Amino acid sequence: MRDDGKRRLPEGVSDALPAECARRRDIEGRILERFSLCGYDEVRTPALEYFSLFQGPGGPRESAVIKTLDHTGRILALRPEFTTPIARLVSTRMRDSVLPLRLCYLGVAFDNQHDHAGMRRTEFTQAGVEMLGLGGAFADAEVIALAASIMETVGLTDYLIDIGQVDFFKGLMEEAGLGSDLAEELRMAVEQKDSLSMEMLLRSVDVSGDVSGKIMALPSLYGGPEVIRRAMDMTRSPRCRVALNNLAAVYDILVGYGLAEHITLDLGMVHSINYYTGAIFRGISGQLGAPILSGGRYDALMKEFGMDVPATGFALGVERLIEAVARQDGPVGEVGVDVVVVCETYDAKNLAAIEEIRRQGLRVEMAYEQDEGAVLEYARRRGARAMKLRGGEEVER
Amino acid sequence: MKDVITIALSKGRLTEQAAQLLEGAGVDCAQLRDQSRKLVLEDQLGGFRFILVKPSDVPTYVDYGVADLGIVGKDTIMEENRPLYELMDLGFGACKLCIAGFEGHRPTGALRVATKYPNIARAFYHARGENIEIIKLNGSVELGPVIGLSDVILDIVESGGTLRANGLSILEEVCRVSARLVANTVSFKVKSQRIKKLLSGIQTQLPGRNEG
Repeated sequence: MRDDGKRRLPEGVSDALPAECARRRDIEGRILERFSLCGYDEVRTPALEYFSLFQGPGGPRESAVIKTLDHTGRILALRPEFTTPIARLVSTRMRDSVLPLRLCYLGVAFDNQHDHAGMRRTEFTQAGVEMLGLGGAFADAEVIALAASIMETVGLTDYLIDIGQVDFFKGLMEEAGLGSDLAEELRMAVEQKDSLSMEMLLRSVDVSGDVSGKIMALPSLYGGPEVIRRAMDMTRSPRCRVALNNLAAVYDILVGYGLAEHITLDLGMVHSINYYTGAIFRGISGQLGAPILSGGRYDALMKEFGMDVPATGFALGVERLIEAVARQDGPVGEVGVDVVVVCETYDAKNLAAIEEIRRQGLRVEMAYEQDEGAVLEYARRRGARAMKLRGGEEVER
Repeated sequence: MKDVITIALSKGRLTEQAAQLLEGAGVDCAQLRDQSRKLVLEDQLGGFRFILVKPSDVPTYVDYGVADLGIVGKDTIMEENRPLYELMDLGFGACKLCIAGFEGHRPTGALRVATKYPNIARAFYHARGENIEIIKLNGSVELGPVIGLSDVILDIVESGGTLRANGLSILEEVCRVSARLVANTVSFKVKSQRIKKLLSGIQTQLPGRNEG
């Protein structure tokens, strides 16, 4: 068949058929309901923003953002994430709100990837929360517990929330006297648990053997709560100790939430240190090779918008969550209706009777076929009961 | 499937050494040695599965999480550049990534670089602010300068025999590479106990890289 581009989708986007839509609605509904029950108010921001909004420390790679121009030639971006637009919204129209603000969202975002491995899609749905105006371990733990409860709400059983603390890493960099460029190179190696590259980097600069040894321990500082004790024994840097105390407090609160068996710690998890400022986390499941959600404390962001308030939150990949649930629970059945109705005449009485059935919460589909056999066959395929109406009453067969 | 560890192995020069290493760590690799055409192989105890794939596909399988671990050359990891945990330098398969060409040859315009590693070549030259023209080849890269397709090549060099036989010499060393053990970032956490055990089994066999 000739490819005229009319029957084909761009890479990294997808349609959803009725059965998938039903599962998606169900899962999205549960997510939003859970956010709402925990006191998070939903906000919406546009998919199009000025590109300049997203430029800054910790911002996306320029090539990863889908851009276009407005009529004046300014660069517009399809939003790559929701946190920055929400920061913009809070700093403008919600500036005088009473803090803390608990906000949530669900919508599509875009990532201009050339490679769609590991479920990196061009268009994807993100759901998440932002909590502004509360610092400290209770706020950190609340958001992490909320992330965990989303996994529970959709019935995912084998999930883990992996928690790190970027300020521990930053404290080590301070102790080692490493500038931001080297710290970033080192961060990338630590993030990939690549001890060899770490060793080579540290050897190339003048770092004392003592500090170097601590940095080299980072990739192995993962596991249960004993990680905090191991790290505490390693360091006397006040910044590192504050970070570890925060992590210990967060962990203890989460144990109170009943989440001990779902929590792992990893001080070698250091994604986006330019953006995050404290406890960070990722939600993973054995069903999927990529993280389902990620988030953490970002106390510096609001300053860029002229508000000095602490903040934390997370974003969840809805398609990833759905995929994990689908792999765990298997495919969903076809979508059907409850009743297929044929009316002898389509008069006011019969139409009112149909509305009455719908008011009971049943899905009613109208049929206009008078051949009884055909209607029965159609209703069977739709998994429905066939019904014939006369004068607003069902005709007995 | 949750308890089985799937390992993606590079088909080719690294396979035999990878099998030896895994055997030393208590993994049964008998099926790997069979000259069968099976694509998915299992150890007799059922704790491990192997897939034998093209080296450049190893990072892909691991990134998607269909393989938990992979054994692959650092050159391939650099070229593919995926978010993986790079857990260990296994030592074997050691060679160098080099720029090679005719000594004294001067390019007429932008330097033409023939290579199987376009991403590495781009990163290497761009870091110095040099503009180059990359010519992607899939094999016999040495032919590039010999036949006038390119000014230089960027390729892995083991003994240098092929280069010498074609009158080429190493102009610059880009970096040293060897086989690495990589892991999917989620598997590493979800199957942490079993992976840790395998890691320490492997570690004890690496010369000069014992624990501690």
